Amino acid sequence: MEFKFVSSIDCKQGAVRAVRFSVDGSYCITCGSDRKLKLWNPYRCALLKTYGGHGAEVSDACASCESSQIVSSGMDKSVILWDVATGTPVRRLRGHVGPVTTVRFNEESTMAVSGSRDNAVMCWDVRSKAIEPVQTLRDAKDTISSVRVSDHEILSASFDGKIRRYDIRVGEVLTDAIGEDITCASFTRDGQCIVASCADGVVRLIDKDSGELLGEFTGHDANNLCLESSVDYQDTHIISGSGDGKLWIWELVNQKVVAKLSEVEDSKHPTVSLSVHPQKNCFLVASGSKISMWEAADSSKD
Amino acid sequence: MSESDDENYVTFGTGLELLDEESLPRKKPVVIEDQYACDTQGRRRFHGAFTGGFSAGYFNSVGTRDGWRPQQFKSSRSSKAGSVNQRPEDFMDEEDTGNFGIAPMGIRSTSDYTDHGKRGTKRERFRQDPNGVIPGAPVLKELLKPVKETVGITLLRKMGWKPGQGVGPRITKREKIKILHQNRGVKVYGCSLPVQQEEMVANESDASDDEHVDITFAPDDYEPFRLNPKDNCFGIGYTGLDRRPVLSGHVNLFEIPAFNIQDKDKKLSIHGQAFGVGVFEVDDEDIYAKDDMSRYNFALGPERKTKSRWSQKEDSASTSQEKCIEGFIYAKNRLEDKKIFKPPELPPDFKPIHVARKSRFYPPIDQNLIYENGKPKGLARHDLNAEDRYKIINDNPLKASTLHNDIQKEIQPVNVSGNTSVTAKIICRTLNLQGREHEQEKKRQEAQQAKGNISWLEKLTATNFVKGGMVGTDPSVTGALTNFKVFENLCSRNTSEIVSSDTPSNTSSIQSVRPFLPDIEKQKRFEQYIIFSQNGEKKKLASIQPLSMSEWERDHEVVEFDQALRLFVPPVSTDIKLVSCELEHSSTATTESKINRNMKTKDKSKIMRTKIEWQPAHIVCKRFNIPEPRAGCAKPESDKKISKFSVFNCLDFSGNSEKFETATRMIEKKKCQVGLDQGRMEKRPAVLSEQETETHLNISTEASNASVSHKLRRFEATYEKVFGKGVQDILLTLKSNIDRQQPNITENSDSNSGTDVTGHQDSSATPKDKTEDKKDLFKAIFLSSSEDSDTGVEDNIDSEKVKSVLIGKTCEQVNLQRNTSPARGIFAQLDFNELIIPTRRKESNDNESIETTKQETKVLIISKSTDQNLARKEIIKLSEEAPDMYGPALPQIPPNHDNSPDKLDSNISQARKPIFKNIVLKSSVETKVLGKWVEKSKVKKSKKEKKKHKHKDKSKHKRKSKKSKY
Repeated sequence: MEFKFVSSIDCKQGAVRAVRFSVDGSYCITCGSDRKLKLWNPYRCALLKTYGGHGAEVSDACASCESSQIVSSGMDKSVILWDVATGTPVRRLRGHVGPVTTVRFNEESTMAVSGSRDNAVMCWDVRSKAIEPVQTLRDAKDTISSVRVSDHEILSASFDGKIRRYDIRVGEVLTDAIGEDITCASFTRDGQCIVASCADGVVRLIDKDSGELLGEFTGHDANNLCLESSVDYQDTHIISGSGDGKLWIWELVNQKVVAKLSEVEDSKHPTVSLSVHPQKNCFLVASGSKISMWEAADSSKD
Repeated sequence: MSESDDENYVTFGTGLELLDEESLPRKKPVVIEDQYACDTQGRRRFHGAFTGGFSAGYFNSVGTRDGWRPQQFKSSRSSKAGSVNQRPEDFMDEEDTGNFGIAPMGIRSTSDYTDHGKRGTKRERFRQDPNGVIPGAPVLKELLKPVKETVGITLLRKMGWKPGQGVGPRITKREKIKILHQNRGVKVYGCSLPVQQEEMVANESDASDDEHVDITFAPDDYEPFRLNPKDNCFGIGYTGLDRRPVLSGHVNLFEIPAFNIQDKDKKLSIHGQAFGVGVFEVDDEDIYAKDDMSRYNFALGPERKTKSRWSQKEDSASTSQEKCIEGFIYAKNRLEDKKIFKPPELPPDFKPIHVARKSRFYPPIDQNLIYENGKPKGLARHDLNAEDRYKIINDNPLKASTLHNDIQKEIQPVNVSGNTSVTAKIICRTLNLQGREHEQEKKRQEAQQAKGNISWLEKLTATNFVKGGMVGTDPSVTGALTNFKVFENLCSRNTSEIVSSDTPSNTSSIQSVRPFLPDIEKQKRFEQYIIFSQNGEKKKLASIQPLSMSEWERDHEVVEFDQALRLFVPPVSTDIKLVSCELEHSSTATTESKINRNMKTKDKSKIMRTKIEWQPAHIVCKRFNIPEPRAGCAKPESDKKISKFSVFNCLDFSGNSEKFETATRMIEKKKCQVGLDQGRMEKRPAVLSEQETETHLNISTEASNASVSHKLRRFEATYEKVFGKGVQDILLTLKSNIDRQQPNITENSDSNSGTDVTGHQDSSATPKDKTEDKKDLFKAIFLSSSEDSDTGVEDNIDSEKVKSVLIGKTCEQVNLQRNTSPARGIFAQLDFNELIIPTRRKESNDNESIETTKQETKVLIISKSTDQNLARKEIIKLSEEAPDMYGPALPQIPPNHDNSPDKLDSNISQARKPIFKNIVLKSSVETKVLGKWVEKSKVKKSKKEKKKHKHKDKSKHKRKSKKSKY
């Protein structure tokens, strides 16, 4: 599989903390360290809108399913719900007592789930006008590094080395103790596995149901960075950011490094954030103040 | 005045006339303002503001009133006007041309004679010389100008002085020589020479030339004494080092090259002397030698013997104390030396590496890590010298033995010389662990004193001695020791001897390990410690630690040694073979552990997973479009309660413990409440089904017989406990009834299997037991049914009667205030005695008692929620069937109660049945239900009014009183 560099945008908003595709993959949001969110059309490299209102760095963001709202989390301990069109904050949710590190909408974008450095995951009802979280999950013993929401699950990864999966359908918490700080945990596309980036420089693939370790993907430079990882569109590759400024891609099955992508030869900025297009093999990578888009060449054939 | 006076005095000149006092004109001194110059005519000469200007005008110069007037031009044929040349004199007064005028006209000497300078002469006009090389004023004339002599010189000249001569009156030669001597002789500052010396000088030159006495000479000239202003801070006559750039100034090729220094990107050359010659010093031998900076010592180090002027001086001063600079004396009190304190000693565990924490919130940095980074002393390459390495590589036992021999040699002589008892030494050691030298001394003295008679101390030491078990074994130690050092050495020798004899190779290898190499003493101790530890006598380390060490240091050292031992010394066994075996074993062990580790890593694939129940919030489920899991559970309530989050929750939980407790209690209550409600709700369909089954009650299913019989047996047991065996027959009669109830009971037991009590009550339940059932239900729902439900059953009287029978009194006897008339409505089923206690008020009016109680209950009931009103009918039905959780089992009510075959059986049985019922109820209330009941009341408390609460208490009280009657 060939990976092709498509485009690159200098976001001009300081370091880009996170880059996220919208639900349909036609837009992307970048979270800057200059306290601004920016909405882009990554294909045309066009800036569509800037959202300012956070009091500190924006750590994460997520667009709603109908692309009418954006929820973002900031180091100012607040979660802000934005109206995409007007660019004004619809609601400012202050419940966390620490910087909010991550935020996600649920599938129907009726609920925002945020994780924070106060070790709590909070569920916010976006539909109501309640300013308090609907539910707070206080199981983690350390900073929540990432939160993912599936149709019936909330997956939270924490620096206490545990991945917690809250199954709403069954009503139980499944805690997988990895033993290393987990910087990012996400579902695979088929929802059968969990990809977890660990601070020891290993990306682990864990079976969701049995909790078995299916694979370990190593080689990249973790370097105490809060790196993100993901699977590609077809669940055939594991993608992870790295401290060396490259995007590492492994074959999921044989755990071999397929490619190390970087726009410039040796970037001094690590690739901390990445986002995979929901419908095709296309990723956005944030490194320093730039985001770059990559595309798998033979994605159409497959 | 007498004449004699005149005679005696000689008068010179003419005496002044005596002034006539009257005619004395008052002479006033003329003030300066009035003194002004006048001309010959007595006219004022100077006028004007400045009084310095020339006189002009009418009164002064020209002589006319109008002042001077220009000459009138007159020209005629007869007298033609000639050319008129004006002269300066035309504009002058006569006085100006006078002797003292500005243009005196008299004859006088030229300025050359009158004045040496060109005073008075006019400035010379430039004579333009167009023929010169340089046009304009002659250059040479500009450059070379005649020296002007000062006024002083001019005056001197006038007085006859000539250049080269001294100034002063002319003197004879002799005098001149004398002065010369004076000037050339010893310089005397301050006071003049004593007279003797002067005489001497005079005598010296006396005989030289007497003949020229008459000729006088001008005195010799003085050397002009030049004073240079002092603009530095050096001593007089000293020129310091001149610090200037290398290439500045004149480069003298013959000079000794200056001392060159590179200083801040600037090359400097230093000239001059660093030290000058003092006033009181003799000049250098070689005056022409220029002191060069390169000769100075710039490095600190052992003082090199240099023959400097100062050192010479110092030496001479130090050798002869008396010798002292003239005019100075040695100080009697020497200045006190500045006390220099030693730098503070660093704690032994100090590591000179500082790793800063980012903030105080970060976890403390692991000291061991630092230690690793800072490279602990030990076996590192640079910590060992060649010898050590050699020792490590080549395990030569001879080496070690020789080492020990050395020690022995050291000890041997001292060993013999000792005289004090060893025991005393040991006392010192054992009792004086603190390590105070003087204390030890004292102890020793004590021991010496007590030498003759056996003191307790010696006994004590004797035991210690035995315990030590080491010193005694060696006969050489029976001799005495002089000091601690010997003892120490002895110890070491003993042990080393032992060890060396046993395991020479081991010791050598161990001894080659030197983790405390920088501290030799410590290393020695460590080596000893190794030996001790091999013999299992680790505590002996204390005996070889120096006394100067503090307790803490000792302990610390022990810990250190332990660690080092673990690090460097492998487990030692005396037998070499064993060692090898062990080695093998250990190797296998290591491989095993490796495998284990590998396994562990493989095990890692199995991630530890824990599963905890978790209740998602209601809204979360709703938003996720997921039905709430475990909808029947009461959990979400609690979750919601806590979800109200505040910072204080996080920070200070223990402080809130009280609050927290109450909160949980509330949650519990809630849970109970909810559980109750839900339970009831769940029960409804069950009840309905029961009702359905009721119709088919006659068809008794024998399948569930076994379970029922079991329950029955249990019940019997309990019953016997309570009432004795007398009631057995009743039970027998009952059995048939129960058999009929079987399906119902099983259902109930299935649903409420949680509580044992209900099971009992199930078994105790009879179809006739409506009142009890209803009461229980009432309890359960807290009088929730409305007051005006009129589906009455007339069993109340029956139950009353039964009660009375049981108690042995009639109804009236037992309860005088009770209205015997049958209760109506829902109250027909209720025993108000147990629920609400009638007040004294009721006692007064017996007849209205029921009405009042009714009203009271009304009040209570009104306060109840209305949703229960809606389900009133059903509840009533329920009351007939069973309250699920709390009360006894749902009784099987045959459709027509009275027509049941049992009833028809016999009157006795009919009579007994209710009795039994009641008894059972009582017992259950007493034994089991009581607890629950109370709890329920508690739960109610939160919802009910206080009034109700009061009643409850009272009713309870009443019940108790009733119980006492039994």
